[in-house]
Amino acid sequence: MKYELVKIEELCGDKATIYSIRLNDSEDTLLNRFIENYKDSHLSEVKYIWEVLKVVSNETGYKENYFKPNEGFPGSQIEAIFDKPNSKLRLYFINLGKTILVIGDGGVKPKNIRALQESVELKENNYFLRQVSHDLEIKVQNREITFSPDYMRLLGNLIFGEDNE
Amino acid sequence: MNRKRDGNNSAIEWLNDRIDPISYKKTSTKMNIAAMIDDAMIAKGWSKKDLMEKMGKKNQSEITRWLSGTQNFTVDKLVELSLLLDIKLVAMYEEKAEKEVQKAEPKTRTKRKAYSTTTP
Repeated sequence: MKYELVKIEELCGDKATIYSIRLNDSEDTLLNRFIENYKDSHLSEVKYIWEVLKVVSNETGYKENYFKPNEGFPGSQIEAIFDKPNSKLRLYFINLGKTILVIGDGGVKPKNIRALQESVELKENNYFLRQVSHDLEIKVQNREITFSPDYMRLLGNLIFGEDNE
Repeated sequence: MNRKRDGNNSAIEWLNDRIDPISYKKTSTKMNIAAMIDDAMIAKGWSKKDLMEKMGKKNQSEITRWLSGTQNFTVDKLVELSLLLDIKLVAMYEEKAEKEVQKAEPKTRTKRKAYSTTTP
């Protein structure tokens, strides 16, 4: 699958830069898709998650206690943002050194399941982000992607996939 | 995929336009308080367990909740934490009190000066 990391301009603050993922030739990012999918059924929760992202990027920076850690395999740096206190929605992201967050997609975690793998939607979205984390790690190791001196931006080829058009 | 690097974010723009400033300020304030507590704990080298014991709590999950950025603290709790961690978590009140003192000071001086000129 071909995809590209794109900056979310509304969430590029002094404290953190937020990226999302655009799949194939879609016009939308995964963050945009998440909002579109849940803005009618879970508007207050979606608004809260958006407020959290704005505060993190502009005011406080990343704080580990704000988020649910260890949502991917060890080392994948995948965490979840969730609305509180009801905690129905999950939005997954990759934490790159606390100053860069790559937002994927998420979904509703019903109260009657414990593991994300019990939800087809959550599993699909979470496992895709695990793949992105793995691909990103390889590009960083190969120095195809580097960090800006202030660690606030990703530099280099942010397009992933077979041909890297 | 050689389009502009910023996504087409129509839903993002839609959502951003609908954020209530008061709601945002509430979220922001709670998260900033949590960040200040976290920073103060790091500066002091305290773990969650340390803070739990110093605050006389028995459950570490309460400290986790305080640091999550969602806790709606009482003024009493903020005062306790401020004194314990040597930080200003009730700064609005303290700044206002300082301004009141500054406002009051020049009047007092003027009155005293006027009084002194009429008395031998």
